[in-house]
Amino acid sequence: MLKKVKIKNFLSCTDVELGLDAVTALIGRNAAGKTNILRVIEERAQFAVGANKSIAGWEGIQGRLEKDSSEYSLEFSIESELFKYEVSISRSNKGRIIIENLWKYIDNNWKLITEREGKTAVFYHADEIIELNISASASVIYTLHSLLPEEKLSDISPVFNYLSKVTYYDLDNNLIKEFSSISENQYQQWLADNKKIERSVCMRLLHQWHSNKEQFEEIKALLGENGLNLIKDIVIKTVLWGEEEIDDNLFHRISFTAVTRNNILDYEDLSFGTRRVIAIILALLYDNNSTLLIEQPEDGIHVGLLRKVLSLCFTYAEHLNKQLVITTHSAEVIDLLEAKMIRFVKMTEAGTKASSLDDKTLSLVPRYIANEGTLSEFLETEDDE
Amino acid sequence: MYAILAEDNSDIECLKVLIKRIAKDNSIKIKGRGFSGCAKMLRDGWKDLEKLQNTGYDKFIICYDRDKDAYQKRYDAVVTKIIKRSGINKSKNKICILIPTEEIEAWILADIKAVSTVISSWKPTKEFPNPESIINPKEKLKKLSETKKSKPLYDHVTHNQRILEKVDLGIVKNKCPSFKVLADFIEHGTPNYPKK
Repeated sequence: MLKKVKIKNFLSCTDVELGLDAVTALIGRNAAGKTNILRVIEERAQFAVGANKSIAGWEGIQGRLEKDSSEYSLEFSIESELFKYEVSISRSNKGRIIIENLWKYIDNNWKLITEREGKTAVFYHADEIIELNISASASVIYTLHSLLPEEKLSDISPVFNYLSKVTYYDLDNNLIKEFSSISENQYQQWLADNKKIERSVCMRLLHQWHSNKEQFEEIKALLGENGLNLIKDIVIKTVLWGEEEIDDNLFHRISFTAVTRNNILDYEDLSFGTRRVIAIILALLYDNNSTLLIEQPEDGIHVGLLRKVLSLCFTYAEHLNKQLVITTHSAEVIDLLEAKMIRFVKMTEAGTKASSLDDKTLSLVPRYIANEGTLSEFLETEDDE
Repeated sequence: MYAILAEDNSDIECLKVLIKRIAKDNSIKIKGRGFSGCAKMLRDGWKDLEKLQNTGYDKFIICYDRDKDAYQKRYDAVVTKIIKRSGINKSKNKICILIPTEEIEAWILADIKAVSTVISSWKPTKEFPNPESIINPKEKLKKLSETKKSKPLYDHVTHNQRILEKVDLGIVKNKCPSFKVLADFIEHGTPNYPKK
């Protein structure tokens, strides 16, 4: 679980420091930088494990450093162990200098596991010190995970596995073209391309139907009449077009039965809100993630349904030991949370800033909620400009 | 016509189901107003009570979970902050102040085998002879669901309404005095406000 994030000079995050819980909600006005915080977290985590390996990858989605230096730090727990991954990138007329450290908290102290400056890295394992040359375009975590034998990866592997599962969801999936009729060839191609596994709803449902029928039935139950009452049934049929049973001729047809009027629908015929709910459920149950960074889960979802969807999210996230970091503008969402889960994000002259309620203010919340009003109403006076 | 005020919309949905079942009449007209929490209900509920009376409703249920508080304190809070402020005509209307002990989920524990009708993989083996003595029934149900590895997991907001469609009302009435208040109100028109 991510415990603390520090970001300096990435996008609008000139100096952001953020503590995180099992469930954390970022609230604030439009263009305050909430999305930037989520995107930086995911992108930096993914770059650490080898995504977007390039010189430009150090500078991330903004394409280039706008200041002379940028830094970030991700502090996270894996089971009972605490790690901290720090990177600083500075640029001068001599070029880019990258400093990269991975720490582990042992016996009340931070102990270096690996450090890197430029193209040289040092890895500390038991009593061994391993020096290695490292590519300028790759992170040290990725490099060590690729090069070292299994017996030396007792700290690196858990870190690699955790960071690789930090996943950002905007839920709209506008870039993914969904097909309710999927050829076996398309399906095999999608399977071969691991990066797509988290993104197509229809492909993920098809894969689940093939590989984990129990979980497929669980998702149907959650969406069905005894659950969220959105989709009565999801039926997947394999059809042979042609005489030969070859991949070219095999098609998988995915259809959804509406709760009202028993209409049979393609995925594209489902409402915006229904598609978002399915995406949320799949993100929680199907995707292999550790920390879910979710934008505005309330969009397109009726208030009455929203409460059910979010309550399910919290139940499953806790059960599956997954962390939720969401952005929201919704009073209904805020009222489902505890005050300590809220982080205010504001755009200031110095860029995006994040803060939480101080202890004194937090102590006032229970009495207010018991006697005066809701958490969202309490926070209205806290979220001033 | 019944009108319900409750702390949240999931309570409203549950009470609608129970009222129709107790009355054995699915066509009963019921209007509900769920608030985002008890404080908001106590602060603003009187406005809705007034409006509902003025639009023709004459049987009112105001539901306020007891949680760990004293019954009389909860009862008095509803009287003072909602009923008296609304100026509702006590002689022309019937009012039930419903205070589930500790939460509505105790009524599900009373006939827990009903959960299997909604979550078929969850087959409870333990029964609860005194469900209103359970400190946090919602959490109890959640833990039981996890222990039994039910699929899907039980979630009170999503599943309560469906489960309450299936509980044996006779069993719940026998085990849960707070539910009997509701049953008596629906079956016999017996209000518990004002007290006689």
